[in-house]
Amino acid sequence: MLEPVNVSLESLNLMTLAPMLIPIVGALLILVVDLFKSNIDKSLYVMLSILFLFTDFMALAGSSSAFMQNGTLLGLFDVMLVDGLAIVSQFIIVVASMLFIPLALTSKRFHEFSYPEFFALFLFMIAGFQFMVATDNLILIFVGLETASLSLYTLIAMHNREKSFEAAVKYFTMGALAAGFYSFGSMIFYAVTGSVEINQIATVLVANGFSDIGFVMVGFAFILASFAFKLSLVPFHTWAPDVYEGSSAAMAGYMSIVPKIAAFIVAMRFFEFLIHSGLVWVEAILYVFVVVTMTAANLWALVQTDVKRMLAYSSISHAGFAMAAVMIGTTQANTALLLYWVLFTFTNLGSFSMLWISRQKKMLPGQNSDHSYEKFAGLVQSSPMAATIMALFMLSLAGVPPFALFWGKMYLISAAVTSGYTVLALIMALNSAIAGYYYLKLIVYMFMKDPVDSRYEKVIGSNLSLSLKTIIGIAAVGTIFAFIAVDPLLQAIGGFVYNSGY
Amino acid sequence: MEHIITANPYFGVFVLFVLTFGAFTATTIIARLASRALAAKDTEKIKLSVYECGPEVTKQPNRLSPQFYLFALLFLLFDVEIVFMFPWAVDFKVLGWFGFTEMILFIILLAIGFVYAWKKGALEWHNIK
Amino acid sequence: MEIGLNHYLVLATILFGIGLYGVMRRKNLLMLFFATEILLNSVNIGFAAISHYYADLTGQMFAFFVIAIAASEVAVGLGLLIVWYKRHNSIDLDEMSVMRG
Repeated sequence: MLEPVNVSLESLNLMTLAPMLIPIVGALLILVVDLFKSNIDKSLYVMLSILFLFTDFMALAGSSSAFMQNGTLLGLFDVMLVDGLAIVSQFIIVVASMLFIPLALTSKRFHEFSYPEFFALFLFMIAGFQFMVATDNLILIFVGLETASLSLYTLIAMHNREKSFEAAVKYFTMGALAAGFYSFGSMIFYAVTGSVEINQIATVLVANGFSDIGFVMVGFAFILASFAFKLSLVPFHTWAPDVYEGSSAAMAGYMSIVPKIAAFIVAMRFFEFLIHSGLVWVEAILYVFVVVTMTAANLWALVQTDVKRMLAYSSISHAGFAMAAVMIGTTQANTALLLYWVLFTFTNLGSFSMLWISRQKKMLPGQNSDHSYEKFAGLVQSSPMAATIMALFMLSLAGVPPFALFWGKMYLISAAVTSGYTVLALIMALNSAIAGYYYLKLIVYMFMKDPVDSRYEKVIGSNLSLSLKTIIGIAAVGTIFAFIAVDPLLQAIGGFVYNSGY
Repeated sequence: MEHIITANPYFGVFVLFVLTFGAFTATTIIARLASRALAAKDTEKIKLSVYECGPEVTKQPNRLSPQFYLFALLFLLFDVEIVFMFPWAVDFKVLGWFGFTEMILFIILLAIGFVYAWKKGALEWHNIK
Repeated sequence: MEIGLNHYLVLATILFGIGLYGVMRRKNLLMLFFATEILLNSVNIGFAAISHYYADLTGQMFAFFVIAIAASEVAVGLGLLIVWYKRHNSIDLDEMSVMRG
């Protein structure tokens, strides 16, 4: 007979679990409130969500100060792992979510936001992403990934248009395939090492000198494929443009930021020990992925006729850009990746919100995509303010000096140069130049061309409301004044990353 | 191998650069060939259709109420969650109060889901809100 | 002949291949769900076998979670499928071509 186990509450270290529990409790509360009192105005749910996310933020601040004092925290039978990477990425996830959720308060009524389930699923999704980044246990990563993805499919489908169902089903199919790949890959690593914790896998593999190199290679290929699906790296990107086009602009912007940072963190934890153990082929495969993703997505973006699809391809290209940091794998590169993503969050938040304010309920006759370039032609004549702000975000995405993403690109490229990847740095710089072309194309449309159709004038800004204005204002301020914040941000992120050993 | 690497440190990168373009072209070609080989041919629809002589085959209308699907969904979800209770039941004595509290929490979560489905009218027969 | 770990792993790999082939080949959405179930459950066989081989329960835990996740995935998928069917009266993936790509 086994002895009964005794688990003391202190040994569980429930502090590590608090940031994830808060959104889950919030989601359940929203569902229960809806059960007892239906037909509450959606702004209450938005406020509740922001309130819970803010509490989540405070809990994160608590665990970050604990990390400063005691280093990496383990909790719940060592399943939870709160290190610097986990804390920084959770800050990005929570802040980005807080900025995106007010986009639900549009002046037009949209079907999906009248359901409290929308906000409950949103909070569940955030909890899923937080679980994903704050652990190195493959089981919990899988559970977090699927919690988040399943919520995301439903959120896309709730937009309730023909295209959004198509987008949800396409994303679902790809996601199911990615889940299969992920579980098969982790099965192989479990078979080779007898453990499902990334730390232990690394220890065992290094101790036996990668004797089962064939199996490790196959497992790596499967895991890489599953994360390439999530990060939309070429050639696993095929779902991305369709899904972005099908979902609402607010959701599309969200999808280009938050799921990817979570996937980047897991990729960092998983691939870095492989690269540092001197496996040349891991580095070579990642190198090919990075270069192909940056270049091919840029070339596709050149030929798009719809601004949202163009932004989708540009997000793919930016993901390839950031993946380069995972491949380089030094502390400097990882810091640059996180900084890049913070700045990218503000810029992409702004550009997708600008699409969101011009959302039409019905398409005009003769119009075959939601956000065609023609819609923005001559925008400067009808509303110079909107045109200027849009141009600002485009310039930032292109990496024009004073604006946000320039600093991200600069630090990333300089990280590449210091680690000796001069050719990679050249390719990155070249790609930024190509990318400038299609961002400038939109600016040319807005400033140089004459309006194609006077009916479009009424459409732009028709969805604008106070909360949308606030969010766009925050994004614009973040984009313009990034140069003030870059240095302190870099210091803080660098400290967190360095102290957790990445 | 050693001297090549030290003499031309970037030669490997150049090779990778060339390989990248090779791989890219190869992927597009392979993807096209594979999808052509794997894609369902038009024959599948005909193969699956009912053989009937004379009049054109018409599709049977869906005679199952969608309510059945909803019941099946709910059954599937709540049924599968039992999987976590079996191991707990087997080791009930060993896990003690800690396991008991954990399981109670889990069941409370399931109960919230159940009440939600109930209140939304998913369990009534012709009454989905 | 003794049946060992390798046999189970080969079985899991073959089933995984069948599932993968099904996901790529099938144009019917329902068949696609069947294929993903095969995909995920083939992994379960592998996990159970490896877990027995190492006399370590972690693999079985993973298998439990895969079961639960596969079920919820099918639930979400079926929900999407019902809505799709109500609108189009068909569950053929070829009809999903409003958008290019």
